Amino acid sequence: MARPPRIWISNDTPALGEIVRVRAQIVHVMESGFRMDANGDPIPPNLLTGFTATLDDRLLMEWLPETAISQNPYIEFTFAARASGTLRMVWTDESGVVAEAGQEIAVG
Amino acid sequence: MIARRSVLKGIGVGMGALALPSLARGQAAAHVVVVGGGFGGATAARYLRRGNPDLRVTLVEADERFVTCPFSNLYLGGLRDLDSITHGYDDLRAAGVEVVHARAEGVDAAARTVTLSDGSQLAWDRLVLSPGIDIRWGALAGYDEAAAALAPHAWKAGPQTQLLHDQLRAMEDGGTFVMVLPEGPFRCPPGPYERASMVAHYFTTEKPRSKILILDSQERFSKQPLFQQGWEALYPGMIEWVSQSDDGLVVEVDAAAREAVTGFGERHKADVLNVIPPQKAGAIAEAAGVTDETGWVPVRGDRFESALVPGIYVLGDATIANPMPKSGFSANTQGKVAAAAIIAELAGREPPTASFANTCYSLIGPGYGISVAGVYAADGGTVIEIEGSGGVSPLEVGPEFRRAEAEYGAGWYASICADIWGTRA
Repeated sequence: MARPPRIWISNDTPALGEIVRVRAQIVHVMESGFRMDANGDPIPPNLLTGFTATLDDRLLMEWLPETAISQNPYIEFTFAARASGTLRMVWTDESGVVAEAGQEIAVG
Repeated sequence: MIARRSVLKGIGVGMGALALPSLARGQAAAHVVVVGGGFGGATAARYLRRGNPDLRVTLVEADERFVTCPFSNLYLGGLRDLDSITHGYDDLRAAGVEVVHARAEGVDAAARTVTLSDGSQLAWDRLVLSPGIDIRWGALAGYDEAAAALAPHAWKAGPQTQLLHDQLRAMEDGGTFVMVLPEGPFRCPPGPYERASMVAHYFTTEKPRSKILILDSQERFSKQPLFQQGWEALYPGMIEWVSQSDDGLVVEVDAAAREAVTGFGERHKADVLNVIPPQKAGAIAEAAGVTDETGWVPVRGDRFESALVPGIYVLGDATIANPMPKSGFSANTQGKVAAAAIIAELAGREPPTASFANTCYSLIGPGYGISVAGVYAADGGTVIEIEGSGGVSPLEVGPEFRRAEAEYGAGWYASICADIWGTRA
């Protein structure tokens, strides 16, 4: 991993019910498996296959990246702040967890 | 009696012939209205008249003088004056094109009319739109028309280019010039990086302690290895390029404070701020109903007729023509293809086989030029690149090669401006 995921959150102390915006980006090659190298041999696929965002044990969103997703995937989403907790984002590939990031959310 | 009968018969035959619709159409010259006097439209107007001198061709262009985006970066760099990239319409008038200086504001495709800003209406048999780009005001938070007066886009050449030029001249040595770049598609893919090069040239000669920061929404860019090699050779340490994944994506601009805010919350303070914002086809394209949900214009690649409204041809930056880039040279060859297709169609013939070419020259410094070229054809309704036809300048060459390409670029500009506006250097 070249560096940890970059994350940004519009407000980590939101009012109850406030819409919180989250941006997250990971450095990843997202090699599709469809390309050839200089010798004409196929380049093996290396893809992220999963992304989840949870607030404590509640699932906020799940995303299944596929071959059409560009390298260094960038994702932006919103959720309604209904309770305090830990926002946790996890990127996975077929062999397991690739990267994760967390942020405390305190609903005021 | 005999004499009178033959006279009447003669009149009868004559009236019958006049009433034949095919003959009547053949005698009245068809009228083609061309909207936009830039690279695409002025080319189409000239080549319509050249291909069929009987055609009536009206060119509608708001401005009496046209300033080209190509080579406007050289003006920013101090290598050209504004006059040398400004062109008039007298030579097109001499070629028999009726030039009307007004803005086209509405198109009625069913009635085949176009309404102008002076309230008049022109009827057309075929309409050509070459409207260039318009800015998507507000698509980037904080960037509206008022903001552009403080942080110019200079992506339509003219007063905006002059404003950016003057701001750079007024900036103190040691200042930072920040460029904010959009996601594609946008006009002139290598243009932003040529601009950075030309401003770096100006800084190196006049304000050597200054810096250039490029905040990019893209992960890579046109002719990237060549530009970066040139920057390293001519302006070491002056230009910093931040890719999208390095937090280069700008989500908000504060033009009054000259600040750009990135997606992950970094605030970059500029002394001169150049925002090249998201774009769409020029407004008349939308008014004519030829744009799709992307804001650009789908066309039939074999003739550059709108895919949505028959009888309306669309050229240049406004169109979806990839793999052809949005460039002046692309618009020029598209204008020739459309002119040939219109002439053939009005004469009841099949349009000739379409063929297109493009070269984008970029100047990194005086006597240091690079290029990318391609040749294109139509496969059904789609534009395709001819495999192995073009390519980019090689990386591993000496200064003579770069100097030659700088000269070819200047030659290209002189010849295409002579071809289109009849400008003689």
